[in-house]
Amino acid sequence: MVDVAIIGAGQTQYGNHPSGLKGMWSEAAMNAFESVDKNFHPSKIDEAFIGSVAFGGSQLGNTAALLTEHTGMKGVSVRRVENACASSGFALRDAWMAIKSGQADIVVAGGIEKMNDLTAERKRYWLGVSGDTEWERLAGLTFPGTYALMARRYFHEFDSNHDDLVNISVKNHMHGLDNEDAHIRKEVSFDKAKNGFMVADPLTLYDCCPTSDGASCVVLAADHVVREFTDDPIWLLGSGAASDSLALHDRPSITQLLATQKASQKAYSMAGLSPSDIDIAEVHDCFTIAELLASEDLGFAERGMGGKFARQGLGRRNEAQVCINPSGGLKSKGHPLGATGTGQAVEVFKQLKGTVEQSRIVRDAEVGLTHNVGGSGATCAVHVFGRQRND
Amino acid sequence: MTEFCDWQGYKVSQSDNVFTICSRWHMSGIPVFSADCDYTTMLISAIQFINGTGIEIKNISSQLNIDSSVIKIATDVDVSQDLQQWQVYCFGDATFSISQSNIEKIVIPNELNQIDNDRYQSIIDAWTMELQESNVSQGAYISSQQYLESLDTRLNLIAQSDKGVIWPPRQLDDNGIKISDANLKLSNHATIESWTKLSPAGAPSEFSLRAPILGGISTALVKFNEGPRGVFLLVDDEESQIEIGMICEFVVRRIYAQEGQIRYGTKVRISPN
Repeated sequence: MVDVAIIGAGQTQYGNHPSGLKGMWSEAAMNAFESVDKNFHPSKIDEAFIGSVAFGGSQLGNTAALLTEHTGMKGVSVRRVENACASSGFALRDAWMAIKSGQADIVVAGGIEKMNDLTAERKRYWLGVSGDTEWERLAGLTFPGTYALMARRYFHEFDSNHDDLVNISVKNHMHGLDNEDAHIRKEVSFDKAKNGFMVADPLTLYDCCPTSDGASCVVLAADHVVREFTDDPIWLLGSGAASDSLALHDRPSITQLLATQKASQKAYSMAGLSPSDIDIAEVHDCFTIAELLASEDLGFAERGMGGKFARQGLGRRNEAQVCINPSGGLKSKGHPLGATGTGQAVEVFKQLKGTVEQSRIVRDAEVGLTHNVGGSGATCAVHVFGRQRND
Repeated sequence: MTEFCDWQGYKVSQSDNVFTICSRWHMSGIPVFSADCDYTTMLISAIQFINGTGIEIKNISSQLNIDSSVIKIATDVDVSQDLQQWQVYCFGDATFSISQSNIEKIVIPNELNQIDNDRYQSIIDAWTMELQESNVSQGAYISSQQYLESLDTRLNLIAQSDKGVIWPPRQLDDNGIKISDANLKLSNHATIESWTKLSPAGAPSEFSLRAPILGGISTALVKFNEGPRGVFLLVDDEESQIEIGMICEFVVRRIYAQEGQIRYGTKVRISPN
């Protein structure tokens, strides 16, 4: 069966972007196309999958056609992919499947979200629309509240407390400091993060990612055409995805994400790798507790040991076996919902090719992972990338 | 002297088949509703109290401003303005009696809590704004049809029971097999498995008018005695230090208002027993 490689990847800066949807997508797509080493033109694209929640509702219908028309892709088979915050993680998987199926050779996966052009009141309407609305929303829950329930329960079940989450926040802010595409580029002290404004007890402001504008774009190619475009591709070695109950109350446990466990097991198995082989992991830390749980669900820490893992700094850049969120993660780099999944792939692509800012490069990185979660864990896509092709 | 006891966040008394229910809050000596209570929620609690004494009420006469359809679903009692064996007598705010005989005066309990005047007026104003026809959630809209479809489940906590206990009900089980209709009334108590308090600014838009006045809103994940879990707004927690493992009870209260209609639901409060 055909193998799939990433030949180009680019994104906008995350944050308060001055452009609208068309401008942001054009910038991300152009950056991705220009990152291809040789001979690329968008006319070569067979299919495109664009992830977006369509936050704010300004372009709920035909989002993908509107955007791709502005980037030299008119006429291409395109569609919007929606799985909440995991929209473009699934767009990436769909793009991979399109090539795997033999129906396409060059495919674009991307994502976009414009979040910061809304009034505060209108933004509130759109936050928390990806839970089980009928039950969770009417119980007063948005995602800070949902993840706060998970955090408090985790502290109750295991040897952990809020300080462990503070360590994650401090680490991710440190990682994102030199990332020129990051939304929040500043270091945060332990005391400041620990004593931040309480958003949803026990989660403070420093446990929560920002709402960001942003777009990201990845170009995938089948193995038989890869060499037309680059001699140094990044291979997509494994793809896994899964779903779970949308509502927390329908899950047997709220201190683990079964969708992450299933998706990562599939991705590892396909890649023929294990958690110990991963050098860098872009993990879905919409809230710090989400990274702690992911460190267990992805196999970097044993069940119940995620707090200790964070306490010991085992995800810090160039200090441990695996660097978790070298980009700064959602916490520092930002979280433009639909763009986050392929934005994670952009970071892994650049890290493995050695093209990120030299001050934040992860040394000797050969294998990377992306972990993209929708909502509080209802959907999850995990991808494993490597500099070497599968045997 | 009439003895009052605490019941579902209210004060209730029973004397010679005269049942009186009163808000536990007052302003200048006059009982007033708390932030999510009204005559509908109080009448539901009163009927449930009376049922607990072994008296079964089928019909009741009332001139109160209530949502009789919600009361019917929550208690199976028909409320009408026609003369019935049981009647509601109300002479003032946030207090009434239910009796089979004529009543000319209602005794108010002495030990009510003082509510801040400004806070009370702010809540009244917030509900008034929320009840405007134009007030509609734009991001997570729940239609009237969707609300009514789950109202029985929401108010009565009725679960399916033929393949383990399942709540809220669903059509098919995890194996894609059809499940029988819900018929099991869950017990009125549950255990808190986790909880949080959202800051006022973090509350969903449905609560955005009232959350700043209340200082935020609290939510609990609870486990029913029969096994299922649910998430509910946590109320009457002003003086409670919430902890995992605490036992809570279910009460019917206002949830929010949309398109001019108050939407009721079940909330949890720390059980006094």
